[in-house]
Amino acid sequence: MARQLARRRVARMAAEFDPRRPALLRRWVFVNAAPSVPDTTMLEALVLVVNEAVTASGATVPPDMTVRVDLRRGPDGVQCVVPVAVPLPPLSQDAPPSDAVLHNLWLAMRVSEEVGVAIEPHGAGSRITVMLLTGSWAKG
Amino acid sequence: MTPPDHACLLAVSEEQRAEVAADFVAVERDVVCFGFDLDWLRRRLAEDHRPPVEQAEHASPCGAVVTLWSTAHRLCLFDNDTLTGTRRAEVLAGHDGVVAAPALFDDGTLRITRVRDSLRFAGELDISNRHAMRVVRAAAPDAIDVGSLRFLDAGGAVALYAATHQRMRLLRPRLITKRVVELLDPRAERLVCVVTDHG
Repeated sequence: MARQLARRRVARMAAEFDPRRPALLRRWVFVNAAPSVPDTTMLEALVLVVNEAVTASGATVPPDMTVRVDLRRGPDGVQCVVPVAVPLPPLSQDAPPSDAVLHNLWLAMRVSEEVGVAIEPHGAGSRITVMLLTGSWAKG
Repeated sequence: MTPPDHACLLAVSEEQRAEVAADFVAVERDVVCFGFDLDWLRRRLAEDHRPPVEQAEHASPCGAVVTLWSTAHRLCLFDNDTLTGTRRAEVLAGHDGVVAAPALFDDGTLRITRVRDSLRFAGELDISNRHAMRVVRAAAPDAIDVGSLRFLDAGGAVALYAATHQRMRLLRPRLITKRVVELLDPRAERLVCVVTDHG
């Protein structure tokens, strides 16, 4: 019952992470997305893609800088937004990117059809949005 | 050699602690656990296909994270980095022996051990410990048991692929790990996922 109520509410949170040591990031995403994602495999797929987005972002900033992650959780699913310091090209499911920074993110986003990735221009850089939309897997 | 009646482990990582505890449960009889918050042990026992152990509703009598008590032996598991020098000396003086459980690599996030001709990964492989794949390159195993590998990022899979000399079996991969590996190496030219326990 508590879990069902939590799934109906919208919650927003943000935190900064060391992109070179992403274990804490993974715990944070797992715990905070879990109320909206009852399927553990889907949750692990989401965690993988956010991990790759933060690792990609970390490759564009100096070694001592953290990367911010904004997480929105609601009845429609979970969304994580990761800023990147440089402009990045959009990702296509079918074509592997030539950019080495993006290749691992592209590989991870193909793990699950339910997890989507969008890259948009944002100021002088870009913004990676990772989305897990509530689907048939979330019933029950 | 007869093992000490009352031994201790000063664990350098949770994965080492879980490994030693699971090994104790595997060979001892009627094991009872004294300690709380034992999810790490239950998880490892499940990964090793061991039955759950009985948990006493008491803390470890030695002040350890957990004490495993069998009909013949006691094993107290401490986390080394939580002990002061004085406390460490007390722990060592209060036990008959110290368990040694060396690893080829253990950074607290990923632990790599040798199991006969294979390797075993436990924990998480990510950008912070990709360099550990040098161990794989040096050991050139036929198989790696990844049943306790709970996270593998795409870069880690690429590093693992690059570290292999020939086809290598990955035993007991989790679903997401298997998917990452199969996307990277769709024809299984170097990394062959084997889902059954017996390879």
